[in-house]
Amino acid sequence: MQPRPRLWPMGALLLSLAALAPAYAQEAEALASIPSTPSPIKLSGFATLGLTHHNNDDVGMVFSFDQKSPAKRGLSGNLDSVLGLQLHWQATESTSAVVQAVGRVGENMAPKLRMGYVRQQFGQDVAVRVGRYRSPLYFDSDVTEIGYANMTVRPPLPVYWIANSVMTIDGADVQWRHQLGNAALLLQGYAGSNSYKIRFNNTAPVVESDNELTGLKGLAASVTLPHVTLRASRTWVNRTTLRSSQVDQLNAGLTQMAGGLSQMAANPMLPHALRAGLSNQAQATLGHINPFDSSPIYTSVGFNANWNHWVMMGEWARFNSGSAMLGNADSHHLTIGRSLGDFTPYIGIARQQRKTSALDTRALGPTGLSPQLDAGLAQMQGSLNAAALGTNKSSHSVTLGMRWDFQDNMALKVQYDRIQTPSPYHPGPFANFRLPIDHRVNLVSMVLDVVF
Amino acid sequence: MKLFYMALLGLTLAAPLSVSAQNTVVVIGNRAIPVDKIDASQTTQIFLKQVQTWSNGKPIQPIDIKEGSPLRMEFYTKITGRSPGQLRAYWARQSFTGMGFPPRDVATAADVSKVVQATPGAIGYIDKRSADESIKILLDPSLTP
Repeated sequence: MQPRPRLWPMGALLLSLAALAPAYAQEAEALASIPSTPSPIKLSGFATLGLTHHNNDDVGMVFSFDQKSPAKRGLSGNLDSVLGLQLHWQATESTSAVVQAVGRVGENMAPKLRMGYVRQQFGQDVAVRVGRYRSPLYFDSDVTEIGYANMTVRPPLPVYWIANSVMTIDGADVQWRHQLGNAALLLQGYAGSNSYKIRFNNTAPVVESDNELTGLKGLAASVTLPHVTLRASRTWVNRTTLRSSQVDQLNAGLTQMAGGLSQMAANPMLPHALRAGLSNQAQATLGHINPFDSSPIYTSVGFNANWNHWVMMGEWARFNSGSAMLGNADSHHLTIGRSLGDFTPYIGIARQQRKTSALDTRALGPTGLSPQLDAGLAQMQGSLNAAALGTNKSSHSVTLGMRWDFQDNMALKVQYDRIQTPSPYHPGPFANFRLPIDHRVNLVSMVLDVVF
Repeated sequence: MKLFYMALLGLTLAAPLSVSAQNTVVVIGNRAIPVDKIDASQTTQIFLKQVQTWSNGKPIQPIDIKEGSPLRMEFYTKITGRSPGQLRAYWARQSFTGMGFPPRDVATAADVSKVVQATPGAIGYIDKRSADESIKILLDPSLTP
C-alpha cells in the first residue's frame, strides 16, 4: 500500500504565516509614520510552500544528505517547503547582530539555527562576522533554501545537492569591499566547522551517521559589474569524519580480517614471498578503515547576468573529496530566463560527473589459504563495494519552469525537472531505497515563495 | 517555439513604452557630495549597495521610498532596469544571507528630499518638478539619450 504523503507540517507552516501577517502589517504602518527614525530592530522572514510529484518507487527526492523525510512517489511537501524567521538588530552604526531560524517540512519543522552572529564594521570597507553564518561554498549555496531569492524553484540538485548539506559554518568570516571603476569587488575569507547527519535510506531502519567537518577555511572573490556578477571560491576542509554504528561494524570486521592476514603472514612455514604478500594485504585492509573520512576541497566559478530583461546564470564546480571511496566530481549548470512583466519563463541544464574510478577493493580478495578468512574477506569486500556504489553521484538534469511574481513579495513557480543518473546502479542525488533503481525521475514542482 | 519567441519579442517592445510615458523621476544628492553627475549604472550600484563610498571615502547613504510608490516603481524600472520582483529577490538574497540590507526607506518623495538635504553623503530620487536649489540633481534620465 502506498503511504499517504505527510502534508500536516505544511498546514502548520500556513497557520504560522497567517498568524504573522497582521503583526508585520502593524509594524510597517508604525514605521511609515516615523520616516526619519528607522527602527534598529527588524523582524523578517521567508517561506516556501512547495508540492512535488513524481512516479518513481525506488527513490525519494532530498534537498540535502540531512533531510529526514524524502519526497516519495506521489505528492509530497517534503522537498522545498520551509519557514525562516530572522531578527536583525542594528546595535550601533557599525555593530549588528542577526539570528535566523529555519524549519523544513522534510525535517518535521524541527527548528534549526541558520545564522546567529555578531557583525562589526571596520571603516567603510571591512566587516567581520563571528558566530554561525550561511556557507558560501558555491555561488548560490547561501540562498538555496530562500526560494524567493532564486529564479527557479531550487538550485539544480545535480550540482548543489552535496553543497546543500554544508548549510552553515560555525566560525568567522571577513568581508572586504572595494570599488574599482564601475566594478564592485567583494573578497570574503571564512573559516570554521560544520556537522550534519547523513541518512542511508536503503537500510531498514534508516541508519543515521554523524558527519563532522573541522578545519574548514575558504576564500570567495566576486566582481559585480553593471550587468553581471562573477564569482570564484575555493573551500578546504582539513578533515571530514563520518561515524555510525555501521561504520563501527565495518571497522571491526576490517580489523579482524587484517589481524587474520597478519597472523597468517607470521607463519614461518609459508614461503617468504607469500608472507610478504599477506602482510601487504593486511596493511591494505586496514587502509579501508573509516572509508568515508575525507579532506574535501570545493571549488566553484560562476556568474549571474541581468541584461535587458534576460537573466543568465552558470557555474562550474569541482568536488575533490581526498577519499578513494567518495572520489572526485565535476559539475556545471546553465540557466536562462526572460522577464516578461511579472512572468519569467526559464530553462536550465545541469550535470555532475564522477571523475575518479570506483573504490579499489582488490586488497580484500581471497587468499586461497583459509576458507574461513576468505569468506570474511568476501563479506567485507561486498560491503565496501555496495557502499562505493552509493557514493557515485553522477547525474544530469533538464529543467523547464515559470516564475510568476503575482503579488508584492510573493512568487508562484511551476517547474518540471527530468533528472537521471548514468545507470540503475548509480543513485545520483536521489535518496535510493534500493539498488538497482529506476534511474529516471520526472519531477513536477509547484511552489509559493513568500518574503515578509 | 516560434509562437513563444514572437511573444517574447512583442513584450520586449511593449515594456519600455509603458515606462517612458511617465518620465519624471530624477536622482538627487546632498550638496556636499563630491560629484555633480552620475550615470544609471552607478546609480544602480549605489541603490543595490554594491558601491558604498563616494570618491572622497565618505559613506554613501541611499534613501529609498517605501514599496507601492509609483515613483519608486519608475525609478527602479527606468534607472536600474530591474522589475520590482527582481529587486525584492535581490534583497531577499542579500538580507537572508547577512550580506547586506536594503537602503533606508521613507514614506514620500518629500521625505526623501528632506533627508537628502540634511544627511551628508545622501542620495535619493524625487519627482523632477519638486527639485529645488537645496539639493543637487545628479541624474535626469529625460536629458540622457
